[in-house]
Amino acid sequence: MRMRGFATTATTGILVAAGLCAGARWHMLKMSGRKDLTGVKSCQTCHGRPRTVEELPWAKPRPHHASPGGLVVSPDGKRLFVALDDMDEVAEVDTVTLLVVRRSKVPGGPTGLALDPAGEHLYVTCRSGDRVAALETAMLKEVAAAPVGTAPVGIAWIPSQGSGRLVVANSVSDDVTVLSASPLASLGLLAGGREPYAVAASPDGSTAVVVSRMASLARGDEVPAAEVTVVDPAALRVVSRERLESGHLSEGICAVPGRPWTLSPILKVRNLVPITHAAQGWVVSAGVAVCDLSKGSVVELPLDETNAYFADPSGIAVEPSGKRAFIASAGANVVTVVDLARLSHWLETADDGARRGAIDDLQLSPEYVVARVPTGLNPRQVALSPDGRTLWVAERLQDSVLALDTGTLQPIGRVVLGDGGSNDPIRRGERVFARASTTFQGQFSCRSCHPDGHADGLAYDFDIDGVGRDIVDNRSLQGLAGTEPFKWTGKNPSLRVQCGPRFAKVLTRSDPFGERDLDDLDAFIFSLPPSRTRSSGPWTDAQRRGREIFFATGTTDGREIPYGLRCSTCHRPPLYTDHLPADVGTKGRADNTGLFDTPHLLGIAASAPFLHDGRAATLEEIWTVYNPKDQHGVTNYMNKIQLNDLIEYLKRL
Amino acid sequence: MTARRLSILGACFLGTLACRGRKAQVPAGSLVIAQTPVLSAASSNQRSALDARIPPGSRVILASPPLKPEDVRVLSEGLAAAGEPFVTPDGQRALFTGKKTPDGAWQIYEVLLGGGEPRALTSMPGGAASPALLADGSVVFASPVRGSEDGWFPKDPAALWALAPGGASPKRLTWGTASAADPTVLQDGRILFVSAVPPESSPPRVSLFTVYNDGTSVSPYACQHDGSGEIGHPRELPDGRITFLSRTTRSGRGGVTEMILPSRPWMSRRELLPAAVIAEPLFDDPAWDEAERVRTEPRKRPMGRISTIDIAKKSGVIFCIDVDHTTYEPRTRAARVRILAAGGGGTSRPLGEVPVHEDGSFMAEVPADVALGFEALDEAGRVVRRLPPSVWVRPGENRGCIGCHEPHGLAPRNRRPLAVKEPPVAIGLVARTGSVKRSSP
Amino acid sequence: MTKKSVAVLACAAAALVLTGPLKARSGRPAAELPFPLIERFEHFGLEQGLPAWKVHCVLADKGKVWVGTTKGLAVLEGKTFNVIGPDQGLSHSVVTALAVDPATGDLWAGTLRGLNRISAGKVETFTQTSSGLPNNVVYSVAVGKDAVWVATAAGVGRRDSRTGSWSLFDATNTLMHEPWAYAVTLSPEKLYVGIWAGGIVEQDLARGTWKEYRDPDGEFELDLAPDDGPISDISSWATWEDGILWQGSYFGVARYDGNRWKSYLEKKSPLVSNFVNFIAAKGRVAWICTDRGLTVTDGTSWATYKSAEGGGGTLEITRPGAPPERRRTATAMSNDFILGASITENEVWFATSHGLTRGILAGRNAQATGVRTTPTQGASR
Repeated sequence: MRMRGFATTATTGILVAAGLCAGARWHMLKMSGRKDLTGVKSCQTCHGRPRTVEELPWAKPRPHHASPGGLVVSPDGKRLFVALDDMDEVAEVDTVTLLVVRRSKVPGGPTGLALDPAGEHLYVTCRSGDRVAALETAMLKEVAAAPVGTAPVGIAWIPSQGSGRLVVANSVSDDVTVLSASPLASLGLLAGGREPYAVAASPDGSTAVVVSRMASLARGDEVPAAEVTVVDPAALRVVSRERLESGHLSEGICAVPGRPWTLSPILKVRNLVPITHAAQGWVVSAGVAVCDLSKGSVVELPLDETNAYFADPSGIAVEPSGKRAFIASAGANVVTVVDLARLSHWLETADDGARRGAIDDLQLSPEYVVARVPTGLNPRQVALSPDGRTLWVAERLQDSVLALDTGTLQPIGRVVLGDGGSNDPIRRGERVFARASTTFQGQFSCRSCHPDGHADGLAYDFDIDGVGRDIVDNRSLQGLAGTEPFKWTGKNPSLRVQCGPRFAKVLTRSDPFGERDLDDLDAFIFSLPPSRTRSSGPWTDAQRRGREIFFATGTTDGREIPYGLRCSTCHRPPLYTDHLPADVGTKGRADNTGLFDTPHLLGIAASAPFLHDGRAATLEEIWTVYNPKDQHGVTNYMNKIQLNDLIEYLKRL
Repeated sequence: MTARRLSILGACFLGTLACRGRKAQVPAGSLVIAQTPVLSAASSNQRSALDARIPPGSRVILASPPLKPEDVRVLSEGLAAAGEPFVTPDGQRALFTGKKTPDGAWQIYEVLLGGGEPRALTSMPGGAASPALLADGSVVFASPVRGSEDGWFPKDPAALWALAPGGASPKRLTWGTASAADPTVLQDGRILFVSAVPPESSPPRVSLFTVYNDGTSVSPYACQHDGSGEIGHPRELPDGRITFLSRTTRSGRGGVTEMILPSRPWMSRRELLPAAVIAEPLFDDPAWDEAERVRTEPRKRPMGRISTIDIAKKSGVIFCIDVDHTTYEPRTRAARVRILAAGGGGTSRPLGEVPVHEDGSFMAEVPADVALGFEALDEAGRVVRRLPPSVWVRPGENRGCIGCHEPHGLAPRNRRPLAVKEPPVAIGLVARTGSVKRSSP
Repeated sequence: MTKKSVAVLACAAAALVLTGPLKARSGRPAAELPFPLIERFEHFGLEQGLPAWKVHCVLADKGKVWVGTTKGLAVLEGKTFNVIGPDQGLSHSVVTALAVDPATGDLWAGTLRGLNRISAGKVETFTQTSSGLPNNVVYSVAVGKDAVWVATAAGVGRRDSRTGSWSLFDATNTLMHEPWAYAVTLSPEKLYVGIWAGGIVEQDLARGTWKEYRDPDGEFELDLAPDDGPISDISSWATWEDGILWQGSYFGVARYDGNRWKSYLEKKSPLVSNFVNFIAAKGRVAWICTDRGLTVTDGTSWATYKSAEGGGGTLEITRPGAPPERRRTATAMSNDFILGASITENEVWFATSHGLTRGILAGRNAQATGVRTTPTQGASR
């Protein structure tokens, strides 16, 4: 009897289990439209995900920190103005007492600062507000504002024509706005490089120089290049564009008094070289680009040394005498001091070949680097007092500004703007993200390739999959929360796995992050909202039509689109991913697999190039070139107008 | 090969564990000092340079403040000779080279600074010397001990080995045709050691090299093109400078302390001025000569590194971005590269040839753990540049090179080598049948 | 293309009209001519550095002359031609249309494979696969205040200058009868599109509404009812300037002032040929480029330049109420098959099927290019 009961129970159990399995398979087939998901072992793969974006860390309130960014010193040297973008404030500091004497609310993420020659007006770019605000310095009150392009960062006063003009680098819309200072109004919009970032007046003050932070999109084996855009703000014209070959992460630019030069710190990327190790600048190295505007020539010179690296050079300032340049290495917590006379001497004595290859010569920098001055965490922007005696260094991730005596190169003191945020895991995570010391010889930081947590738009060849195999486009970390798994193969179920020992083995070639660092990295990366795009304002008709296409179940000629080949099946809202790998017919000669993770689409328009190896330079190419057999969704029924509408919708996400 | 030659002390594992279990306190300011007797009798059997440098009776002691000669503890108690002390970064243990009997073999010993008997960590045939510690706690050392008449290219060159904490057997790291000696671990985690450039001319040029903690990426570090004669005992100063002893004779004693700047290692070699020598606490025992002193204060552990090798593999991949990127004159364009493997007695044998692509690049899959040489051949098959067998790849290692005798201290140009668009050409790999597989495309 | 040198033209138009009496060779006052005459032609070909004989389009702008050829975009700056071709990033070697953005100075170049923006030497390409461009075959480009418009073989495209977004217009979403657009031209308020077999369509830029102008008589080749609308539904070109829309066809020319259409045919007017390739306008004067020479007119006065047998050329001037006046000219176009023209203050540049021609206007102190030009002889096509 008992045996009978056991048999009945067992049989029932087996049947129930079989039924559940069959039901699960039916469910997976129904929901995904795919029969190839044998690797899915857990309901958790698809379920247990955020159902709304409001649940995601980046959508929730987070602590704000002083995070000093832009700096500018008044003409009399008595006041230092500091942009505190995370606080929506601008601070005014007494340069003698090093105390904050005033703070002013400036909505929209105040980032870049510029003063008129009299020091009466402070002009502030508001990165998230897409505007420039003018503040009267007497009261530090906003008195005017003007809209500019998307995500303005750098700004400079150019003493051309009457009241002077302002030139603004718009980092997301890839353009440069020229404004009149009085009245504050936009005069023109000029095409910049990719992510215009910093602006300075040219040596003679007649033009503005704008450096782009990103290298332009390059196809296949093309060498990428960032750009110095020379703008004539009076004529509203781009005068010239100088290539910074393999230049990247240029966040500063300045002119050199007495010489026809501009200097821009760069990261020299070597994304085309298989990453077999990190040493010897094999992945990136730090340098400075010397752009001779009189000749239209650019020479890139190393800041690194053979066995020591100074990652993420960012802000730069040159003494009024033109003798020395100070470059903040944000990943190394160092200010590098460059003797420009020695640099000039080297340039004059070097032949063309030496100048061309200079950036790769890691023994060269002692020719002109005369000091390395330690700073606090993440020195990003620098400014010199008008007399050149004090260098101000924004220590962004410890909420302070360091004052350095440029004569002794010793600290004078610090302006304390906040508590450093050490109790905030997001802030701690950003520190981990920004520091290069966890990489072999401090060669690079996470931020080197993921500025602001975004992507550099470059594809890399990691050797773990075989030299020359599985070349993968760098993916943005913005809007990543809830979009697991990670990596193009979808092999990493969590950020902890992604950033753990595997990361150390393949990329940093060093000790892996510790447990607390990994926790903090999680907190920081998941706090990053999706990338900003140029699309804003009310929905357009094209975007609405595009949404219809995205969710279409049939073609315009009446054919049903199979469930698994609809856009919204794999790119399922709210994050526009089903968290599953898919073969969309893009396996190339160098790929070991055709199955790639389904990326989320929030902010996708800002993440060019596209597809796993970055082969699609634009969203259009995903379907016009790389979807000939409708494997990446049924799309070939669309005419060009419909495809444009679909893309307009995607740009809106 | 190693299994045949090695027999390992079973107590090694337990000894290491025991050492790690205790946290003995060492007074601040203590020094570990290697001493040789002032009136040491010359060893009757100086089989090695080490025998000359560490004569019988030499010892390793711990001196604590106030650093009185009469108040020291002998760490090498019970050994016939000991020297080359190394203090672990935690300041708890000392490693040194020692021998139990005057005619015995040099081996690596470990002793707790807080007290205890020295324990032999190794039992290497031919001896072991010059211990240092990797970030993961592995002891790196050189073995066998170089014979006094061996020169730098003996039949059985000394190699570097790593003994993991609790590891059953040491793993060989270096595979060059020249002996490897005097390893020290840099703060960035690499092993800096002394070896020699292959003898294209005589005498061989002794210089500094680095290798990662798993034996990958052997690279020249300094001294390849400046100075001459023997060098040894490299050390990294707290400010990053590298010091070493140079000797113009092989007497083994004395010499000059030189230094190089890590910022430009091939351009900065010079004598370390006395004023620049780090001031050491005063300790002087008239009965002994001091050979070396080491501080015991805890210091920063070197950077670690996760090994990239796959020991299950028998091969690695080597690619060169531009074989014509060279300092050699004339810069004749290479059409093919012949890859050589070290044979016995300084000979080499060709493994095969690999074509050079239009951009000067090539890529080959080559046998692991064997010294490889390269000959760049022109269209007519003439050798235009040559590197005798001296570098190697570890199993599963991917090794990238910038050029062929390219200038030192270069970062690669940013371009994708054509060679990496094709699978690597298999060279000299022995298939399961025992035949050579795809020796030449 | 139809808006070539808009900025320059707008400023110079009034000055040209008020230039004052031109002295004809006979010494007779020529005050009634509302346009300047060309007193001399210079030729530019391979010897001068032009990459190809066949020149599709030309645009003079602020000291530079952009020349669209079958082998790339040449730019004459100073004494030399520099060539931007596919090796420099141009999307195709055959350059078909040119326009300058007056706000930025950027040049837009249409080709047989996409559109290009040339900005301070940097070439950025837009193709039908890489962007929202309707079709790779670009016939015409016009730059407005906030957008760039292109006429392509598959409709009209509009690229928003601020957002980079593309809008497409073709037979599926406008009144266009055919998608094959040959020309786009802008007035401050309206876009005009010359459609092959579809006449002219007009968009009210503010409202986005469309209006169609078709040839009421429905005959392509005949103008059965003069002045009733577009000369033909076959639009080969359209140019708007100073309140006047000029339609070119292979069957004549039409002029539209916003109220009335006026037709011009080879047999019923001094128009040199019904086969019109291109019309450049300055003020209210059209420079009509045909397969057999150039006719300049404001609708009442006419001047026609042709090559003459045996070398040199002819100039025929027709004033209202006066018989035609014929003159021999020492120089002529390099070829009478004229594909484009660009007018500046002192000169007019012509794209022809056999070289680039510079026409120096009478009474103007045109600066020499510095290029050693080929001695001018009338050439047959």
